[in-house]
Amino acid sequence: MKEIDFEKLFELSGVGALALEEELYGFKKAITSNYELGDFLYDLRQSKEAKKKIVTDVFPGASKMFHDVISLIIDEELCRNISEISRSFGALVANKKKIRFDELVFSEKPTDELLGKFKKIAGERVRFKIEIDPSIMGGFIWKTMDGRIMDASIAGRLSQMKEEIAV
Amino acid sequence: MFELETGLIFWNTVSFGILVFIMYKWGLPPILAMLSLRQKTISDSMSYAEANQKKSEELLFEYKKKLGEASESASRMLKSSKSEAERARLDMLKQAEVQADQIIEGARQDLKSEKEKIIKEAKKEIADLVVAAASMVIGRTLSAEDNKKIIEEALQ
Repeated sequence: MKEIDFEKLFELSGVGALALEEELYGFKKAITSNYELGDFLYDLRQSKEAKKKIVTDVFPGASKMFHDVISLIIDEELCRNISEISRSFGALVANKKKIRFDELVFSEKPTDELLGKFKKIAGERVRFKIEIDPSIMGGFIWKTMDGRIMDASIAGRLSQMKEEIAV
Repeated sequence: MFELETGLIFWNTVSFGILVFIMYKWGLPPILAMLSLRQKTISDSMSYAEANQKKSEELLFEYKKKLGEASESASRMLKSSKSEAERARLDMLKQAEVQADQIIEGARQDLKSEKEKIIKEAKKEIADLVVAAASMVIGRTLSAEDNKKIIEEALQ
């Protein structure tokens, strides 16, 4: 795997670093959740130009910096490493900006009012990435950037109940 | 009638005396020598016989002594063999008892673990059913408002 100079990427993105981080995260989610898109981008038989065109079509409103980075990733055949790239750049941005990227998982899209409560509890230095996973049935799962997990989901409670019954 | 003839007596006496003399001079010594030799032979034979008898008695005594010792040794060996056989029998019996106890304990443990396994599996199945039922009910009945309440309660 060819290395990406994240420090340089951060410098180049300038004030758009946060936006780029979000775009890369979204791209990662898109690839990992949409198997057809993932398979197309991973397929070495497909031309690089076709892959770039697909990304442009799927992310029409993304920044120029994002498309440049994705072009680089496609040219260097690093699509399979997108999770690692997104995570590494996210960690760098968080470190430079003195912030934290936490992940919130809900069973359905949360209201702004509800998200406001989370932001109030977490503070200004925490940015949330929202995930929708109907399998958690209700409640939420809060995953912090440093690996801590608060599972307040109904699926989690049912799982806990199941363990208690089975003991 | 009875008549004493002195002349005949005389000559008979002379003849007898000559005979005694001849016997004494030439007849008696070889006889005495023979008798003496015979006596010596008999005496030697008797000494030899006595010695043999003594030796035989000693041998007999020795034989009886050894026979007694052999008998005693055989008796001891028999007793020892019996004792060893008894000990071996008891050892085998004890070993068999220990093995039987081990088998019983093993079977008891197997039974216990099998019972625990069955209970555990039953609990797991019950838990699965309960959770599946609960999931179904919650999935059908949980409203957005309920979900919001659950989230807010967790945040407090």
